[in-house]
Amino acid sequence: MALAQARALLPELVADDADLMGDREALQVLALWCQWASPLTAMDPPDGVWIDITGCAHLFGGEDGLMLRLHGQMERSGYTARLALADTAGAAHAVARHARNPVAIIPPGRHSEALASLPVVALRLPDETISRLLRVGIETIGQVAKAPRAPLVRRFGQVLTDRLDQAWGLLPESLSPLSARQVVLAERHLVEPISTAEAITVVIEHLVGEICASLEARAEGARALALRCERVDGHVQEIMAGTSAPVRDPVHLTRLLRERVEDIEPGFGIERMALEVTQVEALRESVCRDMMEAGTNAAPMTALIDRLCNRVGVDRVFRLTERAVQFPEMAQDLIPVSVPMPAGVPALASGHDAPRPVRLLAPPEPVRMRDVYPDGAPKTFAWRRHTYLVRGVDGPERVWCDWWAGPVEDRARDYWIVEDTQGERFWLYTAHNGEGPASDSAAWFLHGLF
Amino acid sequence: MTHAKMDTLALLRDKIRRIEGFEQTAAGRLSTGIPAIDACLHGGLTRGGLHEFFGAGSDRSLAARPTRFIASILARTDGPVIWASEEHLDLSAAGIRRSGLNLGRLICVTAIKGGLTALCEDVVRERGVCALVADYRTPLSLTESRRLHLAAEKSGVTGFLIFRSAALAAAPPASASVTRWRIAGTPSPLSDDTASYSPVASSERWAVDLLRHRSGSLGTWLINPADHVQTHSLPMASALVDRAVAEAPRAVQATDRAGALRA
Repeated sequence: MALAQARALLPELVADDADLMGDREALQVLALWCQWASPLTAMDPPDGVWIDITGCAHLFGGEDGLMLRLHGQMERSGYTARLALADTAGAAHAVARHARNPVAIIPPGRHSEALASLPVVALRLPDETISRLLRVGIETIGQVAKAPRAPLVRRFGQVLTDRLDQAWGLLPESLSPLSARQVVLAERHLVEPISTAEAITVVIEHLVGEICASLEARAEGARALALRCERVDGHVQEIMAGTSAPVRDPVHLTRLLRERVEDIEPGFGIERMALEVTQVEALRESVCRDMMEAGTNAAPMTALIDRLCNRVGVDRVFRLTERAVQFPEMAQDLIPVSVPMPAGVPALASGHDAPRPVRLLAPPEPVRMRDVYPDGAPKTFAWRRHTYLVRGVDGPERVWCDWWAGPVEDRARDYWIVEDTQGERFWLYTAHNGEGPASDSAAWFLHGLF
Repeated sequence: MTHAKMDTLALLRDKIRRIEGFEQTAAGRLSTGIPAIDACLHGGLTRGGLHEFFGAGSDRSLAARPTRFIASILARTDGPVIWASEEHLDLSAAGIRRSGLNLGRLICVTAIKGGLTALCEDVVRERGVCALVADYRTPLSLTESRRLHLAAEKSGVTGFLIFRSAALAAAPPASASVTRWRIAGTPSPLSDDTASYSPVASSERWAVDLLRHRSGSLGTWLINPADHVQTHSLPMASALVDRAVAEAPRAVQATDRAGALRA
C-alpha cells in the first residue's frame, strides 16, 4: 500500500522513515539477549532471531517450557513475538511468520506437513522468483514440493530447490551465531585446598599473568577487578580492586591484589579462585611503553595512588588546593586525586601575601583576653588554662567576609600575630561587624600557631 | 706506625659507616637551607631515612613549627610528597604555599584508624615518591619504626614523622630514626623604629634542637624562618650558631667581594 493511499484511509497516520541500521542493532541486542536460552543465537534479518536450542530445552522443562518462557519474556519486554520450533532453520522461519498460531512447535519429522500449506513467500526467495511462481499458479510450498524437480530448476533457478531442501533438512544450512564480548576471566581449581597467604599470592600471580595476556591480546587494560575465592564449605568471598587508569601491568595488578590477601578468610581452605576483569578500557600501546620505562615518574605514582585508594577508600586520598575565599578556615579545599590540580593561586585567595600558619585549629578556640594595649592589641590572654603575656605584636590584618556569598553575622576579623614571653607565636583574631572590635566585650579566638 | 694506625682506624670507621648503611655523599641528602645545620648533618638530612619532629611549648599538640620546617626542607626537593594522617588533615593551603612547598606535589591521605603505620610503610616502599610526612598522635614501637626505616633505606624515600602529642614531646620513645628534632619558639628582638602603642615584634626566631643524630653530633641553633614565597627557601638567618652571634659569614663575604674587585 502506498503511503498516500494509507493517509487517505487514515488521515491521522504517523509515518517515520525506516531506520535500517537502528533496527539491525536492536536485533543484534535481542539476539544476544536470547543467549540465556542457548549459547548459539543468530540474527535472521530483518526481523528474526534463530536460537539453536539443541540440548538446551531440558533446562527449561522441555520444549513447551522453553517456548512458554521465551514468549513470556518477550512479551514482558514489550515485543510482539511469533515463535516456532522446528527441525530446520528454514522450517522454523516459515512457520514463525506464516502459521496461524503465534507459538508453534513442530514435532520432529513432521515439518513437511506443517510447511505444505504455507505460501511460497515463506521460503526466503527473491521477490522475482516468487512473482514468477505465483504467475504459473504455484502458491503453496506443498505445490512446489510436488512439482517435478528438473523443470523447476530450469525455470526458477537453483535457489528455489536449495531453499526447499534447506527447509526439509536435506541440505545443511549454517547459521552464523553471535558471540557476546567475552569477559576476561581466569580461574584455578586447586587440587589441595590452600589456606596460607603465600599460596594464595602464588595463585594470584598465576591468575594475573593469564589475565594480562588476554588483556594484551584485546589491547585493553583493567579498570576494575574481582577476585573470587571459593572455600571448601562453599562460602564465596569476593575482593574488589579498582585502578585509576587502565592497567595490564602484571606487577601493578599483583600488588593491588596482594595487599588485600589479608582480608581473605581461608577457613578450612580455598579450593577455587577466579579472577575476573569487571571493567575494561582500551589501553593504547604508547601508554604501556611509558609504564615500562623506569625513568618516568607518572606510572609508579598511578600505581601508588591506586593502592592507596584501594587501601583507605577513594574519598580519603586527595589534594590540597586554595580557594578564592577570604576567611582562612574556608580558604582550602580537598579535591580528589583524579582531578587535575588548578594552576596558580586564585587571585582572591585569602592572605595572598600575608603570613598564614601552616596548621589551623578547627574550629578556632576561644581565648580569654585579660588585657589589651591602648591600640587594641592583645596584652595578656588565657588559652587552655595557661596565661600568656604578650611581648610583641604584629598586626592587625583585617580580613573581610565574602560579601558576594551572602550576609554573615560578623563581617570582618582582625588578625594579630602575637609573641609571648617564651617566643611562641599565636594567631589571634577578634570578629566584629566591620566598624572595629568593641573595646571591652570583644570575643577573641586562637586560629593557629606559627 | 702512627700513620698506619690512623689508616686502620679510618678504614674501620668507613666499614662501620657502611654497615650502618648511610650514604655519606651530599647527593643523598636533603639540605635544610641553613648552612650551620647542614654542616652538622654532613650536608643535610639523610635521604632514605626516618626523621622525627616534635613541637615544643604550646605547639606540642599542634606541631605547627615542625610542619613549617619540614615544608621548607621539602620545598628544595622535587617529586611527589605524600602527607599521611589518621584524622582530618588540618593543613592550611595558604600556609603550606607560603612555606615554599608547591601544593601540586602534595597528595594527602587519611588513614583508617589504626592503619597509619601500615600505610606509611606502603608509601615508603614506593621509589617514585620524594618524601612521606606522617602526623602521629601515638608513639611508634621500636619494631614499627625499624621496619619503616628499613623500607625507607631500601627505596630512598625520606620519612618525616611529626609527633603531635604533649606526652610524646616530653618523653620521646626509642626509635630507629636517623635524627630527632625539637623546634621551639624563642623571643625575637623587638623592633622599636616605628611609633606604636604596643611593642612590635619583628621576624620570628626559632630554637632548633637536634636531640638525636645517629653517627653524628648534636646541636642547638637559633634561626629566623623568614617568609619565602618567591625564593622557595628558608634564607640563611642571622644564624646564631649555638646561641652565639655569628658575625663570621658576613665578614667572609665582604673579603670575597673585595678580592674579586682587585682581580
